[in-house]
Amino acid sequence: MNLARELRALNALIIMNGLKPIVRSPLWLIVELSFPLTLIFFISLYASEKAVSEALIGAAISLMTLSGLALQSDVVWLRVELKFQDMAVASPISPVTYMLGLAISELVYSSPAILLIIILMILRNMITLGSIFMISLSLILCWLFATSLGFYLSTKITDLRHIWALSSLLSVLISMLPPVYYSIELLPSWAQTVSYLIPTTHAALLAKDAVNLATLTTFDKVISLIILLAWTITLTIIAAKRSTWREK
Amino acid sequence: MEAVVSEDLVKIYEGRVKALDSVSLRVKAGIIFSLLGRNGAGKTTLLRIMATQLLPTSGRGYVLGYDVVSEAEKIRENIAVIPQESRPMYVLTVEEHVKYFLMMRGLSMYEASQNASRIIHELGLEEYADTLCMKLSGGLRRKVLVAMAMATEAEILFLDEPTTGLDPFSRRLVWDAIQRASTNGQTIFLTTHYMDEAEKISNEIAVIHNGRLLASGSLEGFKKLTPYKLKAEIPSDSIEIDRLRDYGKIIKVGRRIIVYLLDREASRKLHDYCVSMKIPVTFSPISLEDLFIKMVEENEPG
Repeated sequence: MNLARELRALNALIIMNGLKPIVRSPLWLIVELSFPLTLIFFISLYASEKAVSEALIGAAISLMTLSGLALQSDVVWLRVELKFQDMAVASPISPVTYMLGLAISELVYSSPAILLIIILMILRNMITLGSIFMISLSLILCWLFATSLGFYLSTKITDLRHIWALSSLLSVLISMLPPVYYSIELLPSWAQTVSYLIPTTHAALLAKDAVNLATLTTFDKVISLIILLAWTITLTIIAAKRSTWREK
Repeated sequence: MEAVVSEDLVKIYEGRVKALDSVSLRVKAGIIFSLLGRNGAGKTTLLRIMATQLLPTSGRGYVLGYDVVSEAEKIRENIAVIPQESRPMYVLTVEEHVKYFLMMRGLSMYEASQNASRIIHELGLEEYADTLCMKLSGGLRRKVLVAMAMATEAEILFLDEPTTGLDPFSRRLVWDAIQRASTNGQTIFLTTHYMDEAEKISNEIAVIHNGRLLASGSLEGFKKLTPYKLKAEIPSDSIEIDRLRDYGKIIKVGRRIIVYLLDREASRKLHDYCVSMKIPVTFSPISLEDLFIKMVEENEPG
C-alpha cells in the first residue's frame, strides 16, 4: 500500500463528500444543529442548570452518533444511485480508504455543529484539562460505534427509502430515548437496565462523569468503555465480513 | 496485442440464473470494441467481470495480461469504468469532479489539476468547467463521466451503455469523446444496444444473447456472416407471411415483416409482386441492426 497515494485519496473523498457539499448547501449546517439545539432550548425552559449541562453533553454525543449513522445513507447513495462505488472498485483505491474517507467526510459535515456545542460547553466551564480527555474519548468511541453500525447497515440494505427510515428510527432509539440528554437516574430501574445495553448511554455516562454531572466508580468506567468498544469492534468485524467491495 | 481476453467465462447468479455461458472473446489493444445485446443479454455482467467489479463463477479473464481474479489490483491501476446509469455528484463542478476523481485514484493535486484542465479543454467542456453538475443536461453529465474516465489516462476504458437515455445531440457529444479517447491510444470496451452507435464508432463488434457469444469481429466481417445484401419491409397486416417465403429469409418484427434478399434480382421480383398486389414495401441495404435482429431471432429458444 502506498501511503501517500492513500492519503491523497482520503483527502479527495473528504473534499468531495464533506467540504464541498457543506460550502454548496450551508442549509444543512442549520439542519444538523436544529435537532440538538431545539432539545437544549426546551430543556433550558423547564429544567435546572445541571440539566442544561447534561443536555449539552447529550447534544455532542447525539451529533457524533448521527454523523456515524449518516454513513449508511451516503454509502448506499453512492453505490446504488450514483454508481460511484463501482468506479472506485475499478480503480487503485483500497476499500478501507474509501470507507474511511466517507466516514470522515460525514464528520466534517457535522463538525461546525459539534464545534458550536463545544464552545457552549466551554462557556459553561464544563471543559477543563481534566475532563477533556474523557469527553473526547467518549465522543470518538461514540462516533466509531455509530460509524461501524452505519457501515454494517449499508451492507445489508440497498433501498435508500429503507435507509432513510431506518436512520431516523435509529437516531431516536440511540440518541434521543436513552439517557443521553438527561440523567439516567430519572428512569425507572427496569428502563435503566435496558438503557445500559445501549452504547450511547455509556458514552454519555463517561462524559458526564468527566464534568461531575454523574458519579462513576473506576469499575463502572471500565465496564462502560468495554461495552462501547465491544459494540464497535463486533459491528466493524461483521460489516467487514459482509461487505462486498467486489461482488460475488 | 490483446487488451481483453475471456476464456470460457461463466457467471451464475445465486446458483440459478446463468448470465454468461462459456464466453470466449479477444479484444485488441487500441480499438473501440462494442458488445451488443438486448437488455439482460449478459453485456454488463461480462464488462463487470473484466473490470474486476464482479467475480466469475468459472472460466478465465485477462486484462492487459493480468488475471481478473488473482491480479485485480494490477488491472485496476490501468483501467477506468463508467458504470451503466451512473451519474456525477450534483454538488461538484465539472472541473472538481475530474480533479478529485483523479486524486482519489492517487494523483497529486498538481497532476490532477493539470490532467483535468487538459481533458476539459479537449472535450470542449471549458464553458462548463465551473458549472455544478446539477445544472448540466443529461448529455453533458454523461460527458463529465467520460471526461473522468479519459482523464485517468488508463489504458482501457470500460463504458457500460454510455449513451442510454440521451438525446441524439447528447449521444454525439459522447461519441466524440469516446473517439477522442481511442485516438489517444486508449482501448475502449463499451456495451450498447444501439446498433447505430456500434456501427458509427466501433472497430470491432461482438453480439451476446442469453449469455452466449453469437459472433465477434469487424463490421465488414459481420456483414459477410450473411449472404443477404438487401432487405424489404412490409406491414404485417397487408399480406400473409407464407406468400413471401419464396423471395427470401423472413422475420416478423412487431407489425413489420422483414424479407432478407440475396441480390437485386430477388428484390426486383419481390418489388414486382408487391406492386401487382398493391402492397406497400420499402427496400434498403442490410444494416448492423438487421444482422443483429436476424442473429438474435435465430438463436431464440424454441
